[in-house]
Amino acid sequence: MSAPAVEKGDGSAPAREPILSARNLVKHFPVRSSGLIRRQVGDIHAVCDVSFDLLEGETLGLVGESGCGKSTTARLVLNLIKRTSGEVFYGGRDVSALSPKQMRTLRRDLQIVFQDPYASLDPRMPVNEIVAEPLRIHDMFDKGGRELVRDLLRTVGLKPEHGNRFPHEFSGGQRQRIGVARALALRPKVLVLDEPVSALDVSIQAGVLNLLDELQTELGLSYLFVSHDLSVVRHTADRIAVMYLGRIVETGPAAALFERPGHPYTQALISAIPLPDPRKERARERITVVGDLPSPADPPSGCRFRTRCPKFAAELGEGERKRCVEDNPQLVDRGQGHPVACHYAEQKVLI
Amino acid sequence: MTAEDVLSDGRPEGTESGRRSRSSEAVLEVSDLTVGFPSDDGLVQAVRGVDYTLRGGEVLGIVGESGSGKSVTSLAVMGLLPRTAKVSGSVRFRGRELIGMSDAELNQVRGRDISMIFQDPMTSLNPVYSVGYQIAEAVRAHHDVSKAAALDRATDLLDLVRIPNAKQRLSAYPHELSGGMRQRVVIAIAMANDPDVIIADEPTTALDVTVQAQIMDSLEAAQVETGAAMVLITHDLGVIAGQADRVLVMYAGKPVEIGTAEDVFYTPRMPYTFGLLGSLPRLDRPSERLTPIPGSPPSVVNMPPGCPFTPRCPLAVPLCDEREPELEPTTDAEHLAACHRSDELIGKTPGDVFVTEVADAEALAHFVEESEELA
Repeated sequence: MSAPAVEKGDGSAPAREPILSARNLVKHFPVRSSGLIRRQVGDIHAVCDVSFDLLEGETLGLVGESGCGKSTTARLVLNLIKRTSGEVFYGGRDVSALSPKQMRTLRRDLQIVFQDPYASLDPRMPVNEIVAEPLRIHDMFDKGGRELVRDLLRTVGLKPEHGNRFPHEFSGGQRQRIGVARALALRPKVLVLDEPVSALDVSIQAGVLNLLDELQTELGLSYLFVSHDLSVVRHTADRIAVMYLGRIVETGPAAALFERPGHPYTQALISAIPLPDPRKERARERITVVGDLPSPADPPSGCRFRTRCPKFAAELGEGERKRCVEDNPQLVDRGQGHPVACHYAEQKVLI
Repeated sequence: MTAEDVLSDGRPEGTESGRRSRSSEAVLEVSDLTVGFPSDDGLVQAVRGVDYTLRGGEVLGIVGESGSGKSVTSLAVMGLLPRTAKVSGSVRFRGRELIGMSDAELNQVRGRDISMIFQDPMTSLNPVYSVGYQIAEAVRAHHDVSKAAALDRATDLLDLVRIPNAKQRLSAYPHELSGGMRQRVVIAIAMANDPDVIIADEPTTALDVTVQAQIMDSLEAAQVETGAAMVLITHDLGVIAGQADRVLVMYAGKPVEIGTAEDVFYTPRMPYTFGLLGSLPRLDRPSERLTPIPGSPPSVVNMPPGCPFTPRCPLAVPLCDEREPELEPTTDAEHLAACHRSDELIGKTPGDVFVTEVADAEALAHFVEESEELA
């Protein structure tokens, strides 16, 4: 393994090998002026120094609100967009340094399921062909691909007889299952799930989540699960990384993170999710953040959350605040049992 | 005339009507409301008979999945459906029938007695007018006050919905505000005339959770300030659990269960409600297997007789295909459910009613074998 180790800090994680590692990933998108000569006038700091390990057979949840850089991180990991700096290691190799040809071989192992099942399936291809396409690309279809596609469709809960139908003939949940079948066709080891259930109604969402859960157990898959929905992530993920404005602010095992969140942002996020339980919901302590997400083109100095931080606003003194303004808090264990990027991290029980 | 006077001119029951004190008096009565849209395939029965009574100061939550008719119901109440829509039934506001009113008459009710908050604040605000102008416009539509007084009122309203620097924000245009701010402006407009009923249709759906929490705060503030009763339409059961006094669950254009929030969340009596609750991943407990509802919602064109949930219902019996169950009182007269087997659901959990779906093991084994041969 050539990836330098990052501190796991949770202690409880089984001693499994990381299958995929990201180290100091950075992505800046250029901001260009309008007009004839589109000069670059700035950068959107979409992802800033993000490192994590995905262990074999586990689900790592990447959560945050829109604009926090979680989807960009997922795409960087798969080399679908060029990184500004940083490395991604898969099986000991730096993925982002590979030639397109070498990358293609690697794509068998690394697959993605997209959020929008209406946009990610070619409307003019029958379902059989959609699922068979990865096999054809990798010259594997002729050796019995037809059978494989049939079994794959049955596995994800679709009728093989419907293979000649087109995507528009299926409901959203069924389309997402087609997307899963396509991603599985090459027997990948890692699946990146980018908001796989966000476009679905709850009753349909549950079926897809159960399917993903079962496939993981049976096929030994590792999931990088990107979502804005904390309840879904709590349900599926073994470990969770919370992102805010391009940085990971807290990471740890799912149960610990939800029971004892240390970062004010994680706390605000957890307390903002309404619980579907009237008595509990009405008795909860609320931590509310003020204002809106600052522009990622001009992120705040020091701690990026300080402009909205309830702790910064209400609890800290002048001297303590200075540290938040000047000094970017590192993601290290500060006595919470898992790494937290806050100078004044303090556990709170919110559920 | 000052901003305060604007509120109290000629309202029948005065401004102290509410302050979230719930009266048993009905402000809005909807009975047997149906809405159909003619289409090439036949009549699309978007709403097939909705009855509810909204009492003064209460919050009624309406839940349901996309296509269940929850939004169309409220558009029908407001008289906002296109002319092609076939609306029948009755909607009474304090005893006055709204269905069949002319647009001119409805304009006296809309915004003044009943106001509405839509899902997408970018499309419900006018992009070419400042937010101050738009709030003042709402005030002046129903009150004969000077522009200055209306703008004063607008400032107060922006303060109430917790927009910082309200006075400066009056001259801002919608595109200069964030999504959350815009939605608060929409709330300010909705409460501008101290309405008796506010209908909020998915008010937080397009927003991030932390912003959603801020909006729910503003909405509560608006409700307390105006004392209005509220119809809160959402697909988020968490929001309903936190806000609603009573809950109405809709499926295929009809209410299938109605009761207090505690009734519906803790002792549901309709399989669909069980399914919804069992499908939800929970933040407050370690993950359990979810119990999805199999299949997908029915098409509301040319519906067959019988209960529309039958094809997805694990408890279905032949009777369910023959006759659609009425919404009837359960053990509690205030808790109604539309299910022939509602009595058998007492004390059950979602896991008892629905089977947790399992992937086809045989197909999976074949797939594993074949894919290994290929590789």
